[in-house]
Amino acid sequence: MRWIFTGLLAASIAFFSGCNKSDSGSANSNQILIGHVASLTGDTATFGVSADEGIRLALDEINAAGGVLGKPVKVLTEDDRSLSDEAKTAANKLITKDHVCAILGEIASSRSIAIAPVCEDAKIPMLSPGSTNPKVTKGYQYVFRNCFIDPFQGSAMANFAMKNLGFKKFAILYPANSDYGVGLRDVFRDAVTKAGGQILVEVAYTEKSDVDFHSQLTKIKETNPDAIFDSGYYTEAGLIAKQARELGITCPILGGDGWDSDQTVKIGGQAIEGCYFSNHYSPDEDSPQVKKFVADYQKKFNGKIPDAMAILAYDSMRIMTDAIKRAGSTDGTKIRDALAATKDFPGASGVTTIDSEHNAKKSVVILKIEHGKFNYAGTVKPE
Amino acid sequence: MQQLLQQIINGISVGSIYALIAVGYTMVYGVLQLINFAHGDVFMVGAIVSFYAASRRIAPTMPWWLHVAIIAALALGFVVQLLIGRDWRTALRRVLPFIILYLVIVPGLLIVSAISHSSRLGSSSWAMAGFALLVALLACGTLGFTIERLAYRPLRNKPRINSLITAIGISLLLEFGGQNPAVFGPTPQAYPEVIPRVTEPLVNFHVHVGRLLNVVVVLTKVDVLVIGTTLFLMIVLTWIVLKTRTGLALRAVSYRFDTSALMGIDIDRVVSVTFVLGSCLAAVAGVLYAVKYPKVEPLMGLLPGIKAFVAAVFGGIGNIAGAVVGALILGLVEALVVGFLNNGSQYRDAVAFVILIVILLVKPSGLLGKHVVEKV
Amino acid sequence: MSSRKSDTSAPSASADDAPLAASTTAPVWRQSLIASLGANLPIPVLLLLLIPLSRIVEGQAFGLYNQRIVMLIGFNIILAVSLQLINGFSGQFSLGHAGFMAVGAYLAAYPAISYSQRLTDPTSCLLFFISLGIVFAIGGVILLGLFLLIRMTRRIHSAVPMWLLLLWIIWIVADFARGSLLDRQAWPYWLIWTRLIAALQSMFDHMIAAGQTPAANFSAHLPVFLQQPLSYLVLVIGGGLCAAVVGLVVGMPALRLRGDYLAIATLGLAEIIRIVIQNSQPLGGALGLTGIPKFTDFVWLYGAVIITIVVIWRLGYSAKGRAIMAVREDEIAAAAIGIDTTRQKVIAFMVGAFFGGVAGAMFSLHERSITPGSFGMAKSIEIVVMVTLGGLGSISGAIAAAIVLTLLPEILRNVGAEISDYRMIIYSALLVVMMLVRPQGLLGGRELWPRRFFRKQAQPRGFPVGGVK
Repeated sequence: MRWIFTGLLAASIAFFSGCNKSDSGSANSNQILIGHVASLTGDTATFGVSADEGIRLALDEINAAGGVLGKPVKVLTEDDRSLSDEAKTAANKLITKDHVCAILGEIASSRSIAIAPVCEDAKIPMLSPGSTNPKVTKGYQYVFRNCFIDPFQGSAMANFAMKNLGFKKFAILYPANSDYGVGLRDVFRDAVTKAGGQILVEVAYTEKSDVDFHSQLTKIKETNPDAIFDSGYYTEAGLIAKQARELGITCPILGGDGWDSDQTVKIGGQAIEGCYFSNHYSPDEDSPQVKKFVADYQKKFNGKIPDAMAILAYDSMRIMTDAIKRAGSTDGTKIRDALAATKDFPGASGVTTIDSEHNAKKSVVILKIEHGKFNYAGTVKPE
Repeated sequence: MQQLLQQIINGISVGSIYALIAVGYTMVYGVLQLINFAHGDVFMVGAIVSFYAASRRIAPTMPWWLHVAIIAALALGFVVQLLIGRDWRTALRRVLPFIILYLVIVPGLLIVSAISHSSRLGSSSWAMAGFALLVALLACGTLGFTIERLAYRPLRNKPRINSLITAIGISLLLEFGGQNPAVFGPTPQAYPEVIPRVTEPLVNFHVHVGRLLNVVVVLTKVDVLVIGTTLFLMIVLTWIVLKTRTGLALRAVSYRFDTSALMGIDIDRVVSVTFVLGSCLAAVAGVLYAVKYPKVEPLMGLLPGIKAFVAAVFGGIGNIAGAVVGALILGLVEALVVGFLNNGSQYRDAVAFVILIVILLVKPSGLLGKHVVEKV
Repeated sequence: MSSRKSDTSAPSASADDAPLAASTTAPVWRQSLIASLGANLPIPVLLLLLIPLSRIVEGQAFGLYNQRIVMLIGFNIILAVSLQLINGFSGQFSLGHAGFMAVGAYLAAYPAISYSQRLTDPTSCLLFFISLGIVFAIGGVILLGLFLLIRMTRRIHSAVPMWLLLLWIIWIVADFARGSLLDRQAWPYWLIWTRLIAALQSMFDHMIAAGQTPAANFSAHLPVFLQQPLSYLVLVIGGGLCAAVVGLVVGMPALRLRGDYLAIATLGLAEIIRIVIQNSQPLGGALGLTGIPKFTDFVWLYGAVIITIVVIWRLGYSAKGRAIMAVREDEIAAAAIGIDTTRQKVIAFMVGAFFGGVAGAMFSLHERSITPGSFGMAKSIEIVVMVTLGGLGSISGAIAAAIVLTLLPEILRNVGAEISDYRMIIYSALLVVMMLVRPQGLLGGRELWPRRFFRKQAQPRGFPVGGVK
């Protein structure tokens, strides 16, 4: 047994090193490799799937136009199963093994925060299509995002709820184990108190593992708020709405861009009707870029209506390739500089300029859920 | 006061589901002294299978590779039996239950699939709910039976820790097997509303006693369903255990394992019955859980499973009434912790573990269990 | 090499004994010095070998990807070997090793971020651990005193302590409850637990505030080349010691339990540790800590690997190890021949926890960011799988299993694209099949190389050797 085992061990090590050698040779210099870390499966699967579809759409256009720097572009998508640890592993793999020149992703802030130091250490530029937590880019040289940040989103929602909907008293339900949820809770709370409103109670839940919110909602019901703000993702949003109605809570529930998924309505059903959430864009928007994007997307993906993650990822892919074009090389530092200098890029989701803090300034769209659809309810422009 | 009453209802409702799972743990432990780690995952399988049934996604046939795999496994099992020196009759007898099971499953699947696709069932009706439950019961019963036969029986005379490791292995196998895209995938799915308007309030209690007490407490249909089902099943189970011959055998085996064998009880049969019963209860719990919280995923059995185990230990493992009491208390404590403790909702999952450790240290035999001295 | 020779030449004239026999005229101290040098020789040689090896591993040709895998293997070896001491040698089946890892990781990362950003300030780190120790000692003494007081009431009636304990717990819980339930103002000052905790916390803060400037000054006077390694050592050993203390606190009561109960209790304790970290704001809550300096490199990590193996090897196969193993084989018989079984279990638990904490500390100083999610049940079970597959009671088995199980998913990834989906399925299936076919693990308590390797003293003749079945 002893020798069999030793042999097995030696064989596996030998096999491993053999495998690797053959693999490292395949890093092809005839194409430009871009990595995409996405949650194709798991709790927030629709984020990753939409983002990947948006990127595929952009990729087709870019390669049809002759690629970048005279080479075709290839996107390697790694699934992280909606787990931070897996996201880190995926980013490491893309950088160290596949030698990608840039990373796109993640959508969820917790996972972007997990990837950021990996990219920073490897000096590989990273562009997150939809992570809104300020911590994602803070203090990093190589990390960018193509969307607004939570302080803007939270205050937009708070102002909309107070001015347009006339709410005064809020209860907050937030996922304690998500950067996104906790960050959004903080800015919403601050914005409400600043505008003269009142936060009656803040109750936490655990993202991914909690399905029972009755106890939290009972606590909220006691305070009788005008509206409940849920700073979590779509999976929980549906359940929360359902259970709130069970307990006889009739007030609307408000959310952030984490709600943007067809699953919100699927799980929430009748219960989530009349609720509002803030988002990056609305497919009903009356702009030629959006119209063209929606038409192209529906043609490629069988009439599926693109959500915000799709359009942001589509733009991110184009911004990234644009930066590579301007950098004139696949060197990480040069791409980084080009990315930081992105100015007035004509994106589908709006004209994009990346500011000194590596964020993009974009307007917030408020959507209302009616008859199982996300209807446009208002826009808040950045100052 | 209003909150307290509502939280108590919330707690009892959750506790009832824990109770259904906990009883499975406690029965298996009572008979085999084995912590069936995979029990929470049997619960998950129940929910997922009923999800497939309710959303009419049961295929009429298994994929070809599954047929090949099953036949290969059966053949392998037979050959291994021969190789370790059993004559072919004995070998055949060992493999026979699985051959029968396989032969039943193939047409069974066809029938089940045909029923699930029939339009007379209705997509949101009690008939559909009953059908989904039935499919879940069948699947979980089979699964429980198979797990015991394949994974636990060969280790029955080995140290207990070996069965524990196997149980962990089976649990992981079910979880990660379920996470495989070919089976279910890690993405949560919305459970269809099989019972029409199940989450609507059934009763609004207006308790009004002068100025002292003026509260409104909501009891939803699903709460009533969960609590009622649990109550009913517990009565049935008590009847089985106390009044039937199988129940008598079960009690005898859990009292003295070896002696009951000497008394002519077919221990293997009793253990199988225990597993099937426990798994069926888990299936019911799984369906109720999915109806109450309409989201299914392969990891959904993890926490309820562990909490139900804690409830079983809390009530005195091996004691059915204890498991129910423990589960209800656990559900209540969780609801109250969330309701009345600062940041309590963040500690909800820790509550179960704290209770577990305190009870193990203070009174390892549990609330209703009797103290057994471990003999040399 | 030499080990194999000594294995085959079983008769008394073994390679190690020969020089000793020749120098019988030398004074005793020199004999023992030579003996210990001879036996210890492999360790410095191995450690020195790491330096050229590190050149290879950290070189360009080796590749970042492979380098990362080599590092991961290192962490897993430390974890598996240290768990082997608990699970394999003492037979106490622990399912909570990731909990100790988490303690080590967080308590090394926190001072590194807060007091020693560039790892140049070992004294401040030391101050942190000392202050933490003092505060926890005070809190522990208070708790223990109360506990003992409650236990003394046993003399009144055997049921009294249980009810008092229950009351005590309810009292603490009630204290944490919202003011809506109870009027906190009505409680006497000294009865309020939250205030006790606040007092301890402020004491800790004062200690740090008072000591930090002198500590930083002291560090500034240290030679520059010593600052970083010293800080690193302080952090790693401090993290390990914290984990060991947690192991002691957790182990003392939990080890009263047996078999599967202990397994569940350790699993629960690890989960509690994780949830407490997840809810502790200074430790970053669920979001984890970021911006941890990166210092662990190949030499440090594999140095720690060698030291872990040597220490556990010597502990496991010494007289003390025999006592630990006796507890595993038959606790009652062991107690009957005068072995303090609780003591042996606690030793095994603490040493195992220490190295688990060391691995965690090194891990956090390598990864740059840690989240409580990394130290969940899945990690614990992964380590248990390594130990079990390698063979309970076999250190080399644990090492080999750690290597194979870290490489396996990467090999699978290289062979087929989407095969990583099957990684955990293969793990779990392996676990089940292993238990059914070969419950003692691949090596089943034996070692890949003779036991005297890494040992201080030669094995006494006539002592029963051979795998403990």
